[in-house]
Amino acid sequence: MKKFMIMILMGALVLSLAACGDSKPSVEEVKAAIENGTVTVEDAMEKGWLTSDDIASIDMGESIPAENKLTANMLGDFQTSTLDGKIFTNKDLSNFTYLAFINPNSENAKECINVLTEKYDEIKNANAEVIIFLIDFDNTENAENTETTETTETNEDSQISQENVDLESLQALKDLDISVLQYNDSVKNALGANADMVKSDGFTGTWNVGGAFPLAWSMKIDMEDDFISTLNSLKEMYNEK
Amino acid sequence: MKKIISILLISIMSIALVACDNQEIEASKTPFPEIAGVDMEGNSVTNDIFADYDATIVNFWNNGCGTCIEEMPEIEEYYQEFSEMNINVVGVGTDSGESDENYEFAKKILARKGVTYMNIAPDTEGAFFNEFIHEITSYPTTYVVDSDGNIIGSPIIGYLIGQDKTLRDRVKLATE
Repeated sequence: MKKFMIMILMGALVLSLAACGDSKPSVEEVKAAIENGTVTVEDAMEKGWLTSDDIASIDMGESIPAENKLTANMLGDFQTSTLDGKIFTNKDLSNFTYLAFINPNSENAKECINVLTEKYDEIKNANAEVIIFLIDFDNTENAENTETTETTETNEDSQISQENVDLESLQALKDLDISVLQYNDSVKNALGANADMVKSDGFTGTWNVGGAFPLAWSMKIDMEDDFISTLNSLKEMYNEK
Repeated sequence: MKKIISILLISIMSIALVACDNQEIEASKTPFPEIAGVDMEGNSVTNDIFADYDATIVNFWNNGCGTCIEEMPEIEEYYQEFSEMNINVVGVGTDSGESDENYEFAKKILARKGVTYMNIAPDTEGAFFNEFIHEITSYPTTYVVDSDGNIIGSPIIGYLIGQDKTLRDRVKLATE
């Protein structure tokens, strides 16, 4: 009798453990694990916990989703002036504008200006614009500790920059009627986190599309850069938005 | 005697059932791809970096991602805090291996932001860059990797600063 009871006990134990081992978590439990990021969809499917039908109803939970590239990283409002002292604001930007931030006295910047002037016609023909922001690095660094002030029509900073600008390298831009603007605190604030891109040696540039910065910034551009194909991709993206 | 056996039987089954009920879903573990790249001093980096730590937080960023760069000081704070728990932080500047200019730019960004944790410039010829990094569609993206080199769970997509609890929970899972 004892033997019989022991066998029953052993059997119960084995059955219980086997049932435990075979059990798979409920779909709801798996979905919760996926939503909090501890289980991947691929893993859950591989283990047979979920079917493709289950996947559709999963909310990808705690991760902050990537925002739309054309709304996530926006240029704010700014007011600055051209080298001639005319007011220029963000509202004057076209929907597709290549923004170049340059220290005109750097060799790298001069090369990039050459590329932009060479490419300007095709950019213009594709209904896009090029805007140059002149950075006087010494003044920009000094300005970091000063409060932002409203830009006036007679912007003293622009006069300072004009004196420091290598006018020869900018003459081509002027001839093409490309707007050359002062990089001031207002622009810097409007760039937000992107302002870090600007503090480099000589040149940084990127496309601005409808106010957003959807692409990476470049420290250099050359004649092999295919601006038109980039523009076409940006236009597709913009139209889809 | 029968009574004792019955009690034993019920106890065993109850324990088994409770154990089943309490069974937690084990976190997914996916091998981190073979790293091919160099650090910001030009030294070659491999997956050996994971073995010495209980967990490693791997943050993917790029030179064009303003928000990634903005949160670097906070990630540096994580690095300082976690280093006392034998947890490491590593950055991957995904476009810093594309050209000398990008590499230098990345170095400047890191210096300016006061970053002291290791950062990797991926080899653009390697599978790490072409198969893994190319599949990353959002920046910043962060993975938590255990000491065996397995990614724990899903990537943490978006600003790490706003996902402190998620990060800490994931690190805890990696170290269990």
